[in-house]
Amino acid sequence: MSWMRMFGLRLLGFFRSRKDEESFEAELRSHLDALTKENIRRGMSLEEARYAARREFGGVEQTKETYREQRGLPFLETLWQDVRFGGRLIAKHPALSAIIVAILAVGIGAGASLYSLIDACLIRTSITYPVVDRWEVVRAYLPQQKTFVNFLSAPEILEVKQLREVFEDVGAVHGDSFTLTRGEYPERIPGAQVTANAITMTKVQPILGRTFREDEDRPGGPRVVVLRYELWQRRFAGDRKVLGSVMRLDDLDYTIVGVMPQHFEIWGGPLWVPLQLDFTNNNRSDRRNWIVGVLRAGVSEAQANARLRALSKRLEQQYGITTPEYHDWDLRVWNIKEAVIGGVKPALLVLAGAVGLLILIVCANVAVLLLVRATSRLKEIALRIALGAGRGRLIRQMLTESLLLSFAGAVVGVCMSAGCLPLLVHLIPREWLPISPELVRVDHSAIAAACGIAMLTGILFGIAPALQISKQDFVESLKESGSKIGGSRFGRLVRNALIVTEIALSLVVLSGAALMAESYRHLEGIDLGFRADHLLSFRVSVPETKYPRGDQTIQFFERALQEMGSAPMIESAAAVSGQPMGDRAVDLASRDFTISKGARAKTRVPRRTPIFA
Amino acid sequence: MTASRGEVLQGTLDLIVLKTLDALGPLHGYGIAQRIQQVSEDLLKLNQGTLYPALLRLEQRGWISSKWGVSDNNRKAKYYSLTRSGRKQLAAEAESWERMAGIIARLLGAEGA
Repeated sequence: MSWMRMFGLRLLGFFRSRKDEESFEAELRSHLDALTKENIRRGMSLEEARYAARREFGGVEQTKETYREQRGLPFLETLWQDVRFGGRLIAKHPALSAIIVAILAVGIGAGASLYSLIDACLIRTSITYPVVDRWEVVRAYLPQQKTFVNFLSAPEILEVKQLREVFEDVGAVHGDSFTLTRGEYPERIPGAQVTANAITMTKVQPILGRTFREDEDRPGGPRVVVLRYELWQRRFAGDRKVLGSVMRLDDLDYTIVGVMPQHFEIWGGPLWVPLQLDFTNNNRSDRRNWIVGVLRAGVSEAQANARLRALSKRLEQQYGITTPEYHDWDLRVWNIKEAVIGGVKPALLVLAGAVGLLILIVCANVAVLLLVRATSRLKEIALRIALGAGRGRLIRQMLTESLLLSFAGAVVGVCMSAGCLPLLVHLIPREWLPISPELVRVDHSAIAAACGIAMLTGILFGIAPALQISKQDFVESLKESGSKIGGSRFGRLVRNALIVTEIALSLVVLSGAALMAESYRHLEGIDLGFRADHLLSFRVSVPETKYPRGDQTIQFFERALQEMGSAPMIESAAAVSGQPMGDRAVDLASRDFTISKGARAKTRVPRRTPIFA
Repeated sequence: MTASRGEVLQGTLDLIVLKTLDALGPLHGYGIAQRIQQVSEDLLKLNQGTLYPALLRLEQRGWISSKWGVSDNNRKAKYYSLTRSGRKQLAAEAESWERMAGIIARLLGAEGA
């Protein structure tokens, strides 16, 4: 505590230096007077007495100097001096300073924007969910096909549930979407069927009502629904009396029992209904659900995988004959964070790399500009050295100036970033963003990041001009009349190196961008095996209440296709359970089949994937 | 060191000042300097100016406090006095000094034997 008191007092001393100075001056004078008086009393003349007094006292100026150092914060005083001087210098070259600040603002602004995005996507997701580090999806790996399969069957879920020493809780999830009728307008809403524990295991509490009870996710259980804040606001105007009222989903009545907080994003869209999983269903190949679980505290993913491997081996031995897809399979955990952000991560890393290079280019660019300015200041600096300024002190001053510039750049950059970030986020497809767009914003941590970048860049681009000074031949500089355009050999060398670096880095970024644009063009122009330019697609789901039997569904689609096909603008119509190129879900028991052109393709019987959106 | 007038040992000035204020009560810088010279019978070589940064440091630590007042011969002077925590510090420093001095004395005695 005492050092804090000390620091506080010295900080105070720094701000009241003038008043203290006068007071100390008076104190010294009274001491010297007393000494002089004493000497006169001993019989010296006034002149002698004064002289003797000064001798006894020691160096007056020296005392004042040490006193000052003790009183204030010499570091802060020099810093303040440098800042004022740097400020004057910036004001003296307004055009150059404006250009430098603008260049820096672009770099730091880009850095702050990207930081906000990364922070929101990669970091902040972990804050919303307390158990996120132990929260896993269990999926199967098929080494022969080198693919993961996320959908598993009820008996398989039961097997995983048995691993009590590994998982705190195991639940199941089935991504779904619902047709909401009644109310102002009908709407298709993405959602999910979840076992009761799939929500409670997240340890996130509902803001209204409750989540599902254990007796609600059994076959024949009640039809209840939990909404998310956003939907509650949108469709029910945030009415707290909504609990107990009825929602018409897929032509069935569901009772609203709870509301989850805003941004509770996991397990699909803004509504959940109980997954009434029938565990008496022994069909091992009826795979429609994801397995989710929370690891016990202290159980590592490797340990969990080892236990799961043992389980898969046992299942292979036990059921391998009736269930051939168990051959060589392997169950593994997949951390929820990876599952949610895995898709954006490479894109963010590429962006981060590009922004990193951009910042380096900015540094090189500004360093060149500062070097030119430093060259025109050689005389001034030579003079300072002649007057006794140390090189360390000069370098420090140069760095203070560059930091001043970079922080000005940071201020402008953060403002720019705050303005542009919504546009950037808008460019990202919603399903790629593991977090709602309004959560991506420039907050205090982004500002801190911008300050960090400013600090780094300030040192990075300030170091070249500062070093140039320390290498300068000052006698020569003083002799020169007027400023020499070329500067010293060292300065020229550094400048050339910087320009080469800058161009090289720019080339890297530009060619990288060009390559990506080219890949994108390739993707656009890829031969799908069919012409897609005149095709339209849409999704439709048929309520089971009206079409309870499979043949009724088939009849519906046959009639729909026939009527659509006869519409004047439609040449032909077809239906498919999974859209080509669209639905990428892979089933454990996918089989090969031959299409008419003779090409072999793998069909993947898709189910709707739970969407983390 | 054969000089007849000893340099003030590093770190002992604080102790000397605290002790002086403890013995004599509130004093101004000049008074403290006089007292030190008087007690040490001029054996201690003290640049009186070095007293002031030390006084400031002690004040910043909260061991002494200062107040402007009027001296005996009617001049304005800044008076320093010991605070409570200064008194505690004096006791602690005196003890550690004595312990150190004892050790040194024993060490020198042992070497001589």
